[in-house]
Amino acid sequence: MTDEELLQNCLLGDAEEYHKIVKKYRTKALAMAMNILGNRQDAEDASQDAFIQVYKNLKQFDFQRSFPNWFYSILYKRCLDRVRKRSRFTMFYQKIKTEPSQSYYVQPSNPTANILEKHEMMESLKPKERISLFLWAYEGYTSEEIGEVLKCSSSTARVHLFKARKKIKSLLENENVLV
Amino acid sequence: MFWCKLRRFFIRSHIQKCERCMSQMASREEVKALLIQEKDVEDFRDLWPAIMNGMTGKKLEKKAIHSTNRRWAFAVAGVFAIFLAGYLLFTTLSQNGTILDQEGDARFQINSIRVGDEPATPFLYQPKDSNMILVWAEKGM
Repeated sequence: MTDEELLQNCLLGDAEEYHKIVKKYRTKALAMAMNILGNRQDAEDASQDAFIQVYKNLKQFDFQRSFPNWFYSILYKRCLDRVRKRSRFTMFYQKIKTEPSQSYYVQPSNPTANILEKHEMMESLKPKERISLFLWAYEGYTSEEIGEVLKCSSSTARVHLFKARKKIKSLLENENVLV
Repeated sequence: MFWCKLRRFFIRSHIQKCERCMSQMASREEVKALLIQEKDVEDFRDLWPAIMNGMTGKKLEKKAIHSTNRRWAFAVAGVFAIFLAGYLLFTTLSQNGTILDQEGDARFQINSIRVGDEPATPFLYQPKDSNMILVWAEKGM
């Protein structure tokens, strides 16, 4: 079944169909939220809020549009809410440094890489740049699609992506120099 | 407008083809290696039970009850603060302050005072050890 069919069934009152949507997008949502927020608790809460908001606003969804884009757009806003409320970006590393035993640690995909180093690099980017990078590198989005998620023009999205890639490259080069 | 679009098109084409520009930007693979991916978050908590509650509005009810309680708490705290301030003011006035003798202190002499076109009685009050003087008038005395 496609997303649209599942959503149509949800609109007819079948909540269990929405469970399938949640299962399908859960890890994508969490990964995206983690990349923006850098905190497990916040990422889970933001994803949860986004899924609830999507369900409650399903009637407003334009079935001509792409569901993932709409969903990511809502999730991005929920992540921004968290960023504004708690400003945990700066607290995240302090917490890791002061309470290493209690802090969250993700197993890195590459055994030699360290998640903290990953975050240190992402830390220097703005939320818009992080999501642009995530959608471009992980989801294979074009600047037009990124613009749709960020609610901006494709050229603006391209600028975010360009700046983010440039910053990352420069950080990677600096790291190599230091090593 | 047309020139802007044309300019953007040339810049975009240049960036996509120019090796020097490309070398200044991280590649998709480099970026991907830095991102937290789906497999990293598989063990995160199951969101469905909380989403289910949110869909049926349980969480909202709980929130509404919570906000009502908070409103009551603020109201009670406000009333308590007003009573406390009133009590403190009363005790301060009755213990430390002195009603000045209008005639005895030449600095605060008031010859006549009228409120609403009628004669009123003035009072001067100076708290103990303070330079502050309170003046009020009571009409119809």
